[in-house]
Amino acid sequence: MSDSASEPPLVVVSDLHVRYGKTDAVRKLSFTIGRGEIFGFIGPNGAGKTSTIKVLATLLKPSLGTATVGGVDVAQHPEIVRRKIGYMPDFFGVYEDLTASEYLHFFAAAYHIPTGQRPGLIRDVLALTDLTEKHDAPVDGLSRGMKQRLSLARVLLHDPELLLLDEPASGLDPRARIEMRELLKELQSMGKTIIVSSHILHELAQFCSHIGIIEAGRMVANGSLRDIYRALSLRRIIHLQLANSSPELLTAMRALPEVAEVEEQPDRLAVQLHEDQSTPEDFLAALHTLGARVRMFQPDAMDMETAFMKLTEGKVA
Amino acid sequence: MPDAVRRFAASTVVRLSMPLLWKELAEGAARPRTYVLRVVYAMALYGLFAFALPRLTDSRYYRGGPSFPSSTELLGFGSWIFERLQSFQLWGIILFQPALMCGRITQEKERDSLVLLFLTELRPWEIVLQKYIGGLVPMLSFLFLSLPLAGVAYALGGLESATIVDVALGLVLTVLQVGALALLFSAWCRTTVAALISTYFWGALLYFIPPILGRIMFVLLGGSISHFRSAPWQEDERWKLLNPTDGISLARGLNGSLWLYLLPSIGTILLCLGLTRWFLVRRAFVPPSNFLPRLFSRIDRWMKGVNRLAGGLVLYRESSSLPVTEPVFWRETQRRVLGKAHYLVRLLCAIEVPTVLLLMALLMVFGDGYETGGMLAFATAVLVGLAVLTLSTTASNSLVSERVGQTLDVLLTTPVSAREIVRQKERALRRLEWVLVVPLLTVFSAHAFFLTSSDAGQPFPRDWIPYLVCWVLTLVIYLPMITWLSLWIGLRVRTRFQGILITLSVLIFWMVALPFTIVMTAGRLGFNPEDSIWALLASPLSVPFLNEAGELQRIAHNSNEPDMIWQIILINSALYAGIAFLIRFCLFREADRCLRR
Repeated sequence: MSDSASEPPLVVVSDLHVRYGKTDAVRKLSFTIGRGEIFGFIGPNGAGKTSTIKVLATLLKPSLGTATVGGVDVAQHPEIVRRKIGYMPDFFGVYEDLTASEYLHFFAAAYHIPTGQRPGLIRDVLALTDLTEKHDAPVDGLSRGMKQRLSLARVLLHDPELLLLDEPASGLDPRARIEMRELLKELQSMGKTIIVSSHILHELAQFCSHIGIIEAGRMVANGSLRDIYRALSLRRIIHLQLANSSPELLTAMRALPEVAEVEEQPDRLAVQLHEDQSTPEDFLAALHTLGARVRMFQPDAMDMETAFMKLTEGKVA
Repeated sequence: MPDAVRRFAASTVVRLSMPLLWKELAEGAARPRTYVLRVVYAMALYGLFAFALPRLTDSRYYRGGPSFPSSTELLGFGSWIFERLQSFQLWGIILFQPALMCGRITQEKERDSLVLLFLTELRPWEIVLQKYIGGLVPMLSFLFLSLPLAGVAYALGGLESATIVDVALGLVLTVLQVGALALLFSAWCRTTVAALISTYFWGALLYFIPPILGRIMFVLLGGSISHFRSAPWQEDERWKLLNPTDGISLARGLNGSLWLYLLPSIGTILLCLGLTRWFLVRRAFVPPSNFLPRLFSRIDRWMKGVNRLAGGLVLYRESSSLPVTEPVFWRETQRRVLGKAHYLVRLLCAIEVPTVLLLMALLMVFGDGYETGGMLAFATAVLVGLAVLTLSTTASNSLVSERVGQTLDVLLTTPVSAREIVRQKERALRRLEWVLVVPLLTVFSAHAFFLTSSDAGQPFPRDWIPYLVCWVLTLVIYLPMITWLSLWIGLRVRTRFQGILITLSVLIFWMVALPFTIVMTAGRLGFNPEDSIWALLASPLSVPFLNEAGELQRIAHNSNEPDMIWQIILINSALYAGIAFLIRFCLFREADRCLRR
């Protein structure tokens, strides 16, 4: 799945099998993630997302199959892999008897970061996660969103190549979710490779370069968003307001090959495009050609929920 | 039928359906643990019965003849057997009932489901009573297990049916009383562990402090010290009225009204249930808090205030305020209450000062009399018990708290290995070991000093050197061994409650039940108990116990081999040093496997 053909993928998972007693949590899962990508891991509860992430985080040994990070097998050399990864679980995992700064110093020591570098490094990660003012605040007194950002600051301390974020936005209020999303975009711009699992599908669609949809321990779809939509023949909805709307113009619009349907709503038109045949930009150009004067042109985010519902059946492992 | 009556009848039927009790019983029935506990209890009860029978006739026991008495020889011993059954059941209730009851309300708090119960039509009294009955059922089922044995005892004769009724009543009332006390702390505390510890602590006070106070009052009111142990029980024992079985004995002994003598114990049951109802709602949403940190932080504030007068005197400065190379050790010793140096010093003072004062008072009041030896042995037992309890619960909790606080996974994805985490935790616990060693050494030294100055009541001379050497070796070997064992158990459990319960069960079995079983088995097989002295090494408590009781000296004296005492001490020390290092080896070998699931 790597974008760059010359560079080997950072994460390679092949035929991964994870078993708890008699339950198969993950079955023959295979995927690759290139450097600098954001991989959205989607699936219903119990699908095997957390198990897969825990294997990559060296917390679980695979029952069968292999997983490598930067070419290093997670089961064979976990101590090397741990230096390459930063893991943020779906719970806080913070020591509540420490202050934010002490918490980061604790993990800086755990990552064997030289003592001289620690103050500056901790100042930087606190600034990045917008927690500078909470430097000496007890962790116990931080809000849920702040604790989550502190966890992210902790993950960044040793500058890992791969971030494993298990439900980072779970339980956060809308503002904290937006802040977390912006933070992830910033990390992407810094060139980090990120695996992020989430249930908030439209948020993943906004910043993930690739998506893996998992159900009952099996990967049911894997690729870029566009690839998945094309494979599923999904439609994108564009909301339009035209200054010169007329029956003739609507008829001409419906005749365009990329248009699947035009629905007239009280204050706008909802146009469904065949995603595999055109892009919103091409459709806008076609409208100008037809002489339409566009007052509002608002493409919906890709319809992840439809894709998810179409691909999954609600099974668990 | 009028509507009002019909509605009342309908609501009564609904209330009598007791949905919460039904849920409690269904949950209990679905747990394999219920059946495992019942089988273990039954095996212990019937095993004790089988082993106890040969001891009925002392002459046969020591003669080493056929070990099992014939049925005709057993005739008339029904009362004797029944008394043992009663004692076993009584201790079973005291040990098990708090564990079976104290999680009834705290678990609802821990799962945030208590608020859901409040939102239903159930009234607080109904919640309390249904929880109470649900918690009584398992222990009552344990009591029923002894019915066949009671039948055998009755068939052997010597047992009156009135005694059976009295004992049954006493046991049931004890179940109700201990259960009510545990439920009260379940309503008061935020966590099951806190409720369990509080129940044992306050239960011990309820049962043991009144008789001790009674004796002190007896002495203060004019009773002489020489009558301390042989005071007329009518004067002495009425302080035990809070204990239902003692209440029944007193009523029978004094020919008084049974219900009058049971009033204090029934009163405590009703009081506990009333307080449970009172605290159920008022303390339903108390935030989790720990008594010890709060107490220490208050003392901190007070000390800072006092220190202003001394001009900000600093006697001890912590080495570093931030971790350098060992983050886990740093957190354990800088941020945990039982790890911080100045808190540990305070804890040491809180134990050491009263210990020294008590010892001085003992030596001044009783001098070198026989009573002093007994009181020193009692002080040793209490301090050793407290030390083992503190160390084992702290050590087992040390790793479990990482799991419960959900920090273990995060820690395990750092380059710090699971083995290294355990090593740092174990190193941090050594400070606590030192704090526990000091008061113990004080008591042992006082006892050694007592042995040099007195041979009161001893049929043979006791040497203080082997006495002290045995205890020093015991401390040096046993305290790390208990730490390693508790950490090893902590590796495998998921909750604090499980950790504390399993650690204490293992220690009690190993230290108390195992030597008891060995001695009983030896007797059952016709061996003289003194022939089985080496078998006693199976328990770590045996040699220290024999040393404290002067039995080691007696054995050496009787065998005409003065060096035998040293042989026993050295073999015991070598054996347990080996076992301790084996446990340590297993602990570190399994750290990675157990912590990484």
